[in-house]
Amino acid sequence: MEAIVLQVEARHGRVAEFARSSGQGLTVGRAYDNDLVLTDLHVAPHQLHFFKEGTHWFFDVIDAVNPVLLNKRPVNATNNAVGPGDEITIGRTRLHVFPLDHTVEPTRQLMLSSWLALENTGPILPLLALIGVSLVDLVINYFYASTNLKWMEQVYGVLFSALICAVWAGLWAIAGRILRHQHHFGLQLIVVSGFSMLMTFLAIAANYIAFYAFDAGVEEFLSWFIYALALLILFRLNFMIATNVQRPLLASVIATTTLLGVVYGFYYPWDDEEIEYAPEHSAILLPPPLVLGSGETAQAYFSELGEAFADSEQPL
Amino acid sequence: MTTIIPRAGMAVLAAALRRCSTTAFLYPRLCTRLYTCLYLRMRSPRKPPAAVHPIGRGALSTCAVIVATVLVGLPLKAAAQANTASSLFERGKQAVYQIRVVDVASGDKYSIGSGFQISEQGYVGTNFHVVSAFVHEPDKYRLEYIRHDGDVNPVTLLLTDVVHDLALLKIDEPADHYLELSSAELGKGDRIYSMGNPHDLGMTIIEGTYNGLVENSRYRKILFSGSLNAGMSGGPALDASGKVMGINVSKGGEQLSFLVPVDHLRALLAEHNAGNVVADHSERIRNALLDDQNAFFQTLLSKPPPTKIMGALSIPDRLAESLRCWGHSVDEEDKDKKYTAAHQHCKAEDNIYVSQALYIGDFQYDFELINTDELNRFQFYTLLEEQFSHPAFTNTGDKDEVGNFTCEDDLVRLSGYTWKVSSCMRAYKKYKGLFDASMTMVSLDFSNRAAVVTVAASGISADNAVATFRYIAETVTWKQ
Repeated sequence: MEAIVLQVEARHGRVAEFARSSGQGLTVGRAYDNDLVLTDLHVAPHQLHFFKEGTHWFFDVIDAVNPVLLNKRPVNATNNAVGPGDEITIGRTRLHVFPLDHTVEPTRQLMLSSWLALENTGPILPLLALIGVSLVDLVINYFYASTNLKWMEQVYGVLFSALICAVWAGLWAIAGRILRHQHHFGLQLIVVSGFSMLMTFLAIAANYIAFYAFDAGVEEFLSWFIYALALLILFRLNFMIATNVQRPLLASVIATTTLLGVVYGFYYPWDDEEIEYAPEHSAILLPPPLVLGSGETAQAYFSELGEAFADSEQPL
Repeated sequence: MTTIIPRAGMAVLAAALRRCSTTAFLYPRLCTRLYTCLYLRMRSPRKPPAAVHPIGRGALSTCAVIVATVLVGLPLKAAAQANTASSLFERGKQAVYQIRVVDVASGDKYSIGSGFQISEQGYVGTNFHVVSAFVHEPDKYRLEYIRHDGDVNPVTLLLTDVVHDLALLKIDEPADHYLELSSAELGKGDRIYSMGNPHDLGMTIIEGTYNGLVENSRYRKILFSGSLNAGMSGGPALDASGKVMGINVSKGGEQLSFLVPVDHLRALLAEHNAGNVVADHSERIRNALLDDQNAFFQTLLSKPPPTKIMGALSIPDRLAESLRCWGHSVDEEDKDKKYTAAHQHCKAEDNIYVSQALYIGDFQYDFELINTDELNRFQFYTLLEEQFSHPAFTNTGDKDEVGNFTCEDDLVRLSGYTWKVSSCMRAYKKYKGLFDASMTMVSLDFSNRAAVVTVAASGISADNAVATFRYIAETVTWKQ
């Protein structure tokens, strides 16, 4: 092996550090004159010395204050053979050994290249996005759902929604600051504003689909489905912006499932023995002329109802 | 001229005189006149000198009237009634028992009520709800009764009448005295006396007024203006002759209590005497509930529905005498509401106690006509969504009694208009064939007016539920 590559272990999503040996050796430690400088205080200033003999690589332990492990086993002070796939533990830091010809993942294409390349998008655009979305929400909520025609009630609702968006973006900005050293608050705010807008339109669309199903179960499924879909998109973008996670879609699926699972568990506890006091029925109504068709005959409906009664009877 | 005060009048005066010794401080002038009356009567029984005895015969009559109506009247009446209650209690206490449902495991009482012996053979009447815990879980509980002298003995359940909340029991060692069942008609205002053991405090008697049968009730109940309390359930209500005219059953408020007419107990006794032996009380309860709801709904459905006009809507009016209907409206003066509405609500306010976890017999329907000039069609239909709901069923909170709701929702064409109709039902687990069921429907043809109809019934059969829902749904029509 011509040279070795050491990777300072990093969790998924964080920036990883690599060091490649130059020439015949490579030193590791906390002092700045090392080839690979570690920040772990449990690592000695001069901890390891890697050297090449023939085609093989070895390392010596220079400082013995803390034990050094090779693949979780203690090592000798000198001449410890090392190769690709090995894991070396020093203090609280773990190093992975790679060969030079290790295949790296393909280059990812930036989905929002011009924005992601920026450290910050500046305050104007995100703010405009949030205000724009809030105004659209306000107008839709008022003209679609206000039954008392009080603007201020809708304004309070929209302001609360905007606050939630800002908090969400802030939390992901903190995550980005920690994991990628870039907060991207503005970008996160744009993303979550878009999510808010998406939810508004998806909810309306789901209402129209569910109405024609005439089934409370379908209505409930659709409401969960649109939340899952929108959250998946939101998390996908949040992860992409704030982390370097290798599989952002998988991470998004896990995050969405977890969040909805918690919410679902809150509403429908597993050990729920509560009795239903009122039926859950298909409650969505659409105004004319959106109601397509005139419905079945009374004879047909009440015949089906009789069968439904028979089906609901449980054996004694 | 003779001055004759009838013997009865003398007795009244004498009684009044006795009371005067204690009430003179209240009525000094009248008592003085009373003494004068008696003095004159004793001194000159035949010919009192008119000059000397200015009150004379006429005065004596006046005196008697005054005494009887003002001085003696009320206290004496109270005394007479107290005597009646007292004597009724003395005569009845041997035949009135405390009925206990005892938890077998702990050996202590689970619930208490009252009961009374109605024959020399030892038959005892009480309320169904007093013994219902035993009826439903005979392995967990046992029945016993306590005599007025504290003697405790077991008692056997013979028959139940869940609809009228009655049960017939039998004791092995009957008392010598029992209470006869009355056949007499009482008039409103007659005094009646109720016995029982309130709150396990001891046997008591209370006095009240008979006020006839409850009007607008699905079941015959006597309105008793007296104050029943918990523990008196199943006790007898006696007329002045000491015969049982009703059975304590419930209270509705201050001095507002209800009695089961004694006819139902007589019928239960006759059924037993006819040789009816019940092996499965649950099945008997189920059959009684099915028959009762069948009788009510078949009667209701057998007639063409009376209708009334509510704005642009023709709706069913009061469908049965036992229903109470109420109305309210939302008008333009309510500035917070951007619509006007008229609402009619009819409800049967009677329940059948089946167990501590289950009451049935609710039946209600309501109609709401909503108009708007201010809301656009989307806002208006959002408003309708808020109104388009099923009522909550609070007749049970026990999952062992009922299953989950299932619903049948669809667009239905009724009288030329399109409605969204949702009907939901949940089956009873212990009483096959009975359901809680409700239907709600809303019209979808107009952008600025709509009707919302809701019907709900507990303890109804599938056939009756479907027929009743359809009966009401097809009666609601828009005026052309």
